[in-house]
Amino acid sequence: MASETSFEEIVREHQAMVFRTLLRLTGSREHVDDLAQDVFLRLYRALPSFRGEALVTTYLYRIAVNVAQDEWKRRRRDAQSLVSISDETSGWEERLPHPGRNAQEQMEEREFQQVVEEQMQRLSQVERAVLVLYHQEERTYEQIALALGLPIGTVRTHLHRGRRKLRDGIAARRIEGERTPVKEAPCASNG
Amino acid sequence: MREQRMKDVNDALEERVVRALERVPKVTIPAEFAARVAGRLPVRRAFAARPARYGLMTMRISMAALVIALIVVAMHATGRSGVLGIALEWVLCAELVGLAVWLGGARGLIVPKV
Repeated sequence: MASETSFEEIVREHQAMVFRTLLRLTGSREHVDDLAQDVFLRLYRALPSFRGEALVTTYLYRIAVNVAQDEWKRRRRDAQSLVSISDETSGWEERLPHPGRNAQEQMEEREFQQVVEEQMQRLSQVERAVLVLYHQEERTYEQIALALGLPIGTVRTHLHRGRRKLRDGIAARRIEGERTPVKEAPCASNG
Repeated sequence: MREQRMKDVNDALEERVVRALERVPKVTIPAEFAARVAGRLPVRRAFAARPARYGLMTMRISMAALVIALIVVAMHATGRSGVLGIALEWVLCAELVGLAVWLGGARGLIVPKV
């Protein structure tokens, strides 16, 4: 009973971090509750072997990344679409507050955020995990290396590569977006 | 000139991407989530820490064997047994005392203090 109470405190302390990491890694609000629950149950099962060498947060990040990877595998099996901007359950970026901005800027910012999220889902799992842990969770290279079980050099490589892929993907999308209306015009006139 | 412009565009895009990545998503955590997780924890079986009695048993058997050995040596002791016999008696006696002290200490550890 006492252990349950103390574990409940651990959950309460880290639940926000687990939720937002899972949300960003999976790119969807769907099943995030269940996934977060799975993360904490795995942590509980792992606690007897927890030797205190690392922080609980490092342990939790590792478990969250593993759970997100399992979720991706499950989605692949179910042949569900990996990215769905129109999905009601995703699109957390639409809920972002933008104080002190006009409507046009807010809309542009939201659209850009959506594009970033979409491109994020096209990265490899490890690149996505490194980007989320570094930028969103503000972890150091050492902490990420520890959480993901990778050498620091590899973490750096994934971070730079991931950012470059994102930038290239967004740029390609922009170019594509600019070209599309031009291509459509002759077809419309021919018809 | 054009290269510089491209570089500026790329830098601006990079900066914007980083800003988007650093934006922390707002999450809605269900009320009582922590309690729900705590309620679903698997029950861990408590194992009984019963002290093993093999050591104690061995000590008792050893003491009995030593006493028998001492009696046997004493029965065969004659005037010509010499230094070897006396040394053997002393060694066996010391072992017996040692075992008795150890047994006393071990019992003190096992018996719970009320």
